[in-house]
Amino acid sequence: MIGGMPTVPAVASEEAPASPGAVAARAARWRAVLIPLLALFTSLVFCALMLLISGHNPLTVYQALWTGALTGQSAFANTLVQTTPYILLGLAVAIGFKGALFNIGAEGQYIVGAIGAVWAGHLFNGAPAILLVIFALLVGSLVGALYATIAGVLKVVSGAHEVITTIMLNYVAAFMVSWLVDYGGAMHGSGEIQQSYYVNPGAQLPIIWPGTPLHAGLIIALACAAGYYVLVWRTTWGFQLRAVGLNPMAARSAGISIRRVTIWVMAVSGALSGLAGAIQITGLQHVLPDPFGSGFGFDAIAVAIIGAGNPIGIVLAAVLLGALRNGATTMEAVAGISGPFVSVIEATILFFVAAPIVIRWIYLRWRRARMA
Amino acid sequence: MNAILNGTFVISVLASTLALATPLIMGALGGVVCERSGVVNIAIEGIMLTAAFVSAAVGIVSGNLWLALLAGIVAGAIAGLFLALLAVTLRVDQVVAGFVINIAAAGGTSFVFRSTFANASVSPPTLAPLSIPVLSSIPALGPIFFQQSLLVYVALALVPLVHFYLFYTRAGLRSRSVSENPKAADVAGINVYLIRYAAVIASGAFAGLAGAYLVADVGSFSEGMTNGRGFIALAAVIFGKWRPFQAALGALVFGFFDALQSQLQVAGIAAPVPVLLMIPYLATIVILAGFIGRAIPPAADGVPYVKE
Amino acid sequence: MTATPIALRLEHITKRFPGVLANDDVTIEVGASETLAILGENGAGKSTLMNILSGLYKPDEGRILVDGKPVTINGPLDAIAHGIGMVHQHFELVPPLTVAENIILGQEPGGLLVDHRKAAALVRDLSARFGLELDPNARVADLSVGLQQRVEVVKALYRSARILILDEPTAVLTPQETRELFAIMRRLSAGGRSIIFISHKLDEVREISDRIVVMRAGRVVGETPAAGATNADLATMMVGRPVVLEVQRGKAEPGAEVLAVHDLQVRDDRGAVAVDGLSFTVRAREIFGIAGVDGNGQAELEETLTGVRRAESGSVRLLGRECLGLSPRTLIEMGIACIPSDRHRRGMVGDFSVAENLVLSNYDRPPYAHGPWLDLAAIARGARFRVDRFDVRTPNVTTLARFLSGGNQQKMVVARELSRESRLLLAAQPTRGVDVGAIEFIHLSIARQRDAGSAVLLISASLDEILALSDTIGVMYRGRMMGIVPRAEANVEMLGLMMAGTPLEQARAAAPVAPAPTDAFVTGG
Repeated sequence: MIGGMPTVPAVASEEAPASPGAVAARAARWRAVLIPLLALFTSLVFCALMLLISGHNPLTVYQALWTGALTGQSAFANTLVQTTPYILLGLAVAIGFKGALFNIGAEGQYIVGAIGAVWAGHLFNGAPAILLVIFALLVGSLVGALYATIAGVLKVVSGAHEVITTIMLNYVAAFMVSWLVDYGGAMHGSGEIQQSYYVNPGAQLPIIWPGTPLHAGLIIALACAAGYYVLVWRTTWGFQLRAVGLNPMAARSAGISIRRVTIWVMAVSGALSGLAGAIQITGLQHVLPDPFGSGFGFDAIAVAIIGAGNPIGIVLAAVLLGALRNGATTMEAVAGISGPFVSVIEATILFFVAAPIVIRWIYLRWRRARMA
Repeated sequence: MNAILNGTFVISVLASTLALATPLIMGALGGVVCERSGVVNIAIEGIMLTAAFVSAAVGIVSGNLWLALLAGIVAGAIAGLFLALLAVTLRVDQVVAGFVINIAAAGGTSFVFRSTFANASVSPPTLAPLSIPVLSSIPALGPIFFQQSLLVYVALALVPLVHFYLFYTRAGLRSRSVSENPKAADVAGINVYLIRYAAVIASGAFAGLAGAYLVADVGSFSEGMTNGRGFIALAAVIFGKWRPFQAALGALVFGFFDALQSQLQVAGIAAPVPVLLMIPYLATIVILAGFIGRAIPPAADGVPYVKE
Repeated sequence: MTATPIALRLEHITKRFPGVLANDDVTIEVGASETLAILGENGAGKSTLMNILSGLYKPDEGRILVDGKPVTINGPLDAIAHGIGMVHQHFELVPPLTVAENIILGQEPGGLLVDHRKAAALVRDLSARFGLELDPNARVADLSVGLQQRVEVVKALYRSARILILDEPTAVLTPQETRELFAIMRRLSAGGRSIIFISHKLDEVREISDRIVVMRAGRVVGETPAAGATNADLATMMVGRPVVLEVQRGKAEPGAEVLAVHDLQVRDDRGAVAVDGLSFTVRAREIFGIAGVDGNGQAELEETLTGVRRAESGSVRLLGRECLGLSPRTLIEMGIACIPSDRHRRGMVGDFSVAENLVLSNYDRPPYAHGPWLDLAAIARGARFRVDRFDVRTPNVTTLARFLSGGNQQKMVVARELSRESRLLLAAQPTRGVDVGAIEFIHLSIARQRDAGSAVLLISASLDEILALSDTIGVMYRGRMMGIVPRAEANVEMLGLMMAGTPLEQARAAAPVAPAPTDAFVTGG
């Protein structure tokens, strides 16, 4: 695929039904829901085995994860706070997939979006809170869009593969943060801490769950998920996007401009990621620390794939991942398993979702054994 | 500025180019072998990291450099086996399969690292540079070419070996045919799956050696120490149009930029460190975009083969 | 059945695929030194049967006997071991490798290292023995189609094939190259080899084979010695009903000039000249048919006319307006409709529904869209109407296009292109890979379009199709127009000579001028 035509990950794809009809369609929808659930369950079992082997009690670990993620108002709210950027980043990667593009650069676009938001917020520090927030969000989205467009233009003009260019741009973005925000940098705050100046904390996205940090960013993210659906399936632009993603040559012969679609989809993708970064600043942190957002790029891909490229799936996958990440801190404190373990769980889920045939094999055998 | 324009600086840059390019060369050779059987290997990064960790662990436990290197190679091969399972047998999209491994590697190595020897007092054994007698005394060329560690020479030797394999052996011919037209190879009685498995496992071994080298070079493991090198190796593969010598050249070019930024830091140039650190990554983008033109991959690259 | 020893016998072979009985209790015998033709339309089951013989499929029932002994063929290696060699219709070659490398692939001389010198020597030896000239060190990608086919034949011979299967070998050859191939086949046959010749071309089958077996819908429906068989009998057996010979259409009354191509120069992907100073015009209410063997620049011409490929020089005017350099979008808006030669790559999006495919070029204008918003109901309605009108067999309009049969997919593409207002219809290989029923329908649709006033440019490798539909015929050879004649003055010999490079005047002199349209050509060759 690298260098060749990128293929859209065919997750939970169906074989040709001999008699396509309402029955087959319903069965396909069942499978679309069942497989991620079974994937989750199977990977938890698998990871439990790994924990057992390495001498830990999986029940304690999972209980800590669960507690940290979901029990109690504060835990659940924090999970949703974590979920918000994942929704947007998952959408960003997913929309790239629809155009057969692998935008691994969600992380870099997220970072530059945050940089843009901090800069914009700082510039208008005295302005009324609402205006400042809106301006910061717009600037963040725009900067993210522009950053992603770099990779898009490079691809269109020179064929440079977007997997590599976007990953390189991720690293560049991370270094940009260090450069701007560390001691001596242009956006440095005060003192020794490696972080930027503060954006007016008063300019805060409204809190939607009083007593918790959960802010309106979640609403924005959900609105974007709905917008994603409308954009991809109900507009002429979305039609072009899907055609190019599924068969670029046929699309071109039918008069669709692959170049234009490629650049625009990277821009939209970058805008979503940049928006996520801006929301993180105006909703939660009000300051840009170094490091910022590391690891989000891979997580975004996982959300997009586990969510099977559709908005509801992506939201649910984002919640899942948000829960895992949020619960990780408790898991570390209580059960002594270090945070990165959730990446292992994440990779396992991704494996089972991407290779549903394994799940079918496991459960079909189990069912046959039961019936025997 | 004076510190830069003199000979010592240039020599230092060139000397460390070879050393820094070595893991890239190994990763790129692995990438070439893999893609010349029709499988895309996005997991070079993750395999490198996994192998680095395993190599460090074995190195700490055994204190033996050679065991550590071997462990890295074996770990890479096993990771390659897993990738082959995903990509060839399960026919998962190969880029997705690569990322499964990358994510698992990043999380897994960090996790196990923290719960085992993160705070260990023992370090893995290091690889000292060799000094080839006589030749290393040549001014300029001596330090650049003849005072490198063993693995650097191994990497350079591997380049013609891979070339020979691909273009002069039976296995290489079959592999190339599988990467261009697997159906034709199948019809000729060649076992497409076997060839792809072998190529992907070998590719993992190459990446494993690269990871082991990273640890042996600095004498420690740190989380995420590969830092994108696996993807730069992939860029080198494309730069080299899937040919071993050109891919190695690409790796050298990228290694050069890495060496450049590192020596610029040492020379105390008045530029912020993060900006210098960006140089290799920006160079990769510019080179990939500007100097390659349309690189045409093997025809069946990235497409899972389904036997009818 | 035959006096000579039986080299190969297929007994009661049955093969099922989901929803399709591809081979139904097929029993066939071939004698040593015999050339057996298997005749049948697309979908008759010939290819499936041959894939079973060559080890790519396993039969569900039945057995195979070689030289009287039952054999199991579990894969291509087994088939080769039993002396069965297949030359596929779509070559199984590796383009970047050399001729020698392709031939020895899988059975390389020497051990771990490839002995290139020995391989070249072996290839030269085989070439000389059978008169199949080949340069061992040439890259297959650089060879002409006819030479590539030779590589396939030598590949089979290299593996000591004694039973040679040739699957539609003449589809890509000029009449002259076909004659050369037949000479080679006779030589091979005289040496004791059995040959199975698969085709749907009646004249060739009668010329080269000893016996003919006719298949239809997976079963053997008839068998006859070649001597004494008539085209009419064979055609009826193949199709099961009397066959339409020439497409019904109105009298030719060409109107104003619609398309004017002048001195067109186009290069192919490798930089070689594909279209070399081509000039011709197409008028309204005229079907201009371009005949020619595949690979003489037709694909590049098609791509240039639809805006997908840049021309080097020359001019293409549609109703006086210059077309070169314009985007596909603009050309579509100017009124060019195209049924592409490769529907899978350029004609349709397999994972789109039938409805979505039907609006692939006008999804963004009313009534299918208002501003940026798609009107899904209108799209579905329009789709249902067209599916009905163009007889596209599909469970409903939301079915994904890739689940349709080849013929229905093509009808879907035809439905889309013919439902638009267009000045010029470009139909490239419109019935390739399409079953007979659909072929007739597509030909009628094209004729209807022409009667309604459109200009039609038909590009086809099938002389039968050209002769059945065209009002004026041009022949392309190596990117040039060898000659342009009205249909009434054309016949197969003359066209065949031009297809092989003979200029018009010589061809006209060599072939009788009196046209022979009443020979039994099956439409959709």
